[in-house]
Amino acid sequence: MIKIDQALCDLCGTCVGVCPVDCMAMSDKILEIDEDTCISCKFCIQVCPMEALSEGESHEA
Amino acid sequence: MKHNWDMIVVGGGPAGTVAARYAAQKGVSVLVLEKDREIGLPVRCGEGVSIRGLEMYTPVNPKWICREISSVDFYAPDGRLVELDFSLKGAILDRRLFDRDLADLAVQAGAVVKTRANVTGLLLDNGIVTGVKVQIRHEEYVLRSRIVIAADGVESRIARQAGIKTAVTPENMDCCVQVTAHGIKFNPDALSFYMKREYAPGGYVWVFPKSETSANVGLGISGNNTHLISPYRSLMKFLGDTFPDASWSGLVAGGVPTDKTLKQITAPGLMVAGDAARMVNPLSGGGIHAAMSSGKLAADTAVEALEKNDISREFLQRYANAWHEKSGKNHEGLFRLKEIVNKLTDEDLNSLGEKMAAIPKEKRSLTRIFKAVVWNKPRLILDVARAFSGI
Ligand SMILES: Cc1cc2nc3c(=O)[nH]c(=O)nc-3n(C[C@H](O)[C@H](O)[C@H](O)COP(=O)(O)OP(=O)(O)OC[C@H]3O[C@@H](n4cnc5c(N)ncnc54)[C@H](O)[C@@H]3O)c2cc1C
Ligand code: SF4
Ligand code: SF4
Repeated sequence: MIKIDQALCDLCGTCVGVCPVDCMAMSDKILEIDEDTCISCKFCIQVCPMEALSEGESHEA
Repeated sequence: MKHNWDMIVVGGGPAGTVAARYAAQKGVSVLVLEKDREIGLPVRCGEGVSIRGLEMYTPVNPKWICREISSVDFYAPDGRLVELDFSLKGAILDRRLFDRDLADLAVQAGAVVKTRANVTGLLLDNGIVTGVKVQIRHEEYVLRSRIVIAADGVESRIARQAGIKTAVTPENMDCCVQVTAHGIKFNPDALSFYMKREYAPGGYVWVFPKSETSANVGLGISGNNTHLISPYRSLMKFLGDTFPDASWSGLVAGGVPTDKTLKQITAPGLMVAGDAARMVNPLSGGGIHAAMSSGKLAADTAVEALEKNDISREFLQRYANAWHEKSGKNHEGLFRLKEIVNKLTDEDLNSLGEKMAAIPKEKRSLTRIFKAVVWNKPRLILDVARAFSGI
């Protein structure tokens, strides 16, 4: 499960651009991950410039 | 709001607004949907461009230009400075103004631009794109259009719904952070690049002047190398090491897809443009020019398709063909060059710097640099030969 630290996230969309199963969605206010579709490849964690993503229990920071 | 349009553009960046302007000028009814609350903000960009490149797609408003650029300064990892004369006239933009004015020009041509409009999906009829679903405040609207342009930037989710694979691998995503640094001592007439691997493995640090004493200072790291150092941490380190007395503002993150252009940039009723189509110059990471160029080409094909009432993939392929004819080969070459340059170590870059510094300034050209790279590293000759023979 991928945890988003909303305080660090800059809504830049870099993670969305690498997600191979398109399970990340972003508005101008929030980034969300559809946990049921996520395959835990961790590409998103790898590319986040702000260290806003990590592996965790729940995606609510 | 009108529910039927000739053309809907998703994304209000340069690709989207240039496409909208050229189509609207030909009498096409165009709606641009942008999820952010204001066009042009936040600015996730170093703002470096060639003025000649801009002039091809828009009259240039002097207010957009923060600073004109006359040279390029490369800093080798050992600190050696190699200066290059810039053959193209360069500029640092105010992208907030620039993006906003491009949108205004589209509106003046007859397009409608809507912000805070988050497109959540495509309408598909037997595999043909026939419009979009968009969220505005709490309402979801279903809007029909004969053609959709996906100009939704690095995220590029829209085209995926039409079956186009747009996700790039981390290796080909440059993970960037940038600040505007104030009160710094530097060359305010040059684009400065710091090539040190310690700061930017598989990328570089840029210092692009906004005024005599302030600059966009940022860096990009290939997604494959972020385990070595995170972009945010690395930028903080670079600032501390290089401009210890600077104050900074405007910290932004951003992703630059430095991949090959998507194999497929059209589907029935759909064209993909700009960053969404992965058209950024893969070596430099610059994408403003390609965004505008592809926006114009997509609009040209859209106008023809609407006239002929043919939105089939075959017809829209004209756009893909036009892009490949204009930029395809060059783009592929730059991608291969990026792969080569990314393999250079700090030692390679140092001895390259040394060789370059030995060439008189007026004779330093990109071709010479390129040759020096090849001489410098015999193994690379093989790679370069491969790169250009198309393997
Ligand atoms: C840190 C950084 C520095 C850079 N520096 C330079 C530089 O110095 N020079 C240069 O030439 N290029 C630079 N680039 C690249 C350049 O910024 C891009 O190539 C350029 O902005 C691409 O234009 P575009 O119109 O394709 O996409 P964008 O400008 O990204 O516009 C896409 C728009 O679509 C919107 N959008 C996305 N999804 C939706 C949706 N579902 N619904 C509605 N709207 C949506 C986004 O909010 C965004 O406004 C840099 C990029 C980064 C990240
Ligand atoms: S890459 Fe990081 S900062 Fe950017 S949107 Fe994703 S989580 Fe947020
Ligand atoms: S772990 Fe992989 S699948 Fe899950 S959200 Fe991140 S990129 Fe997408």
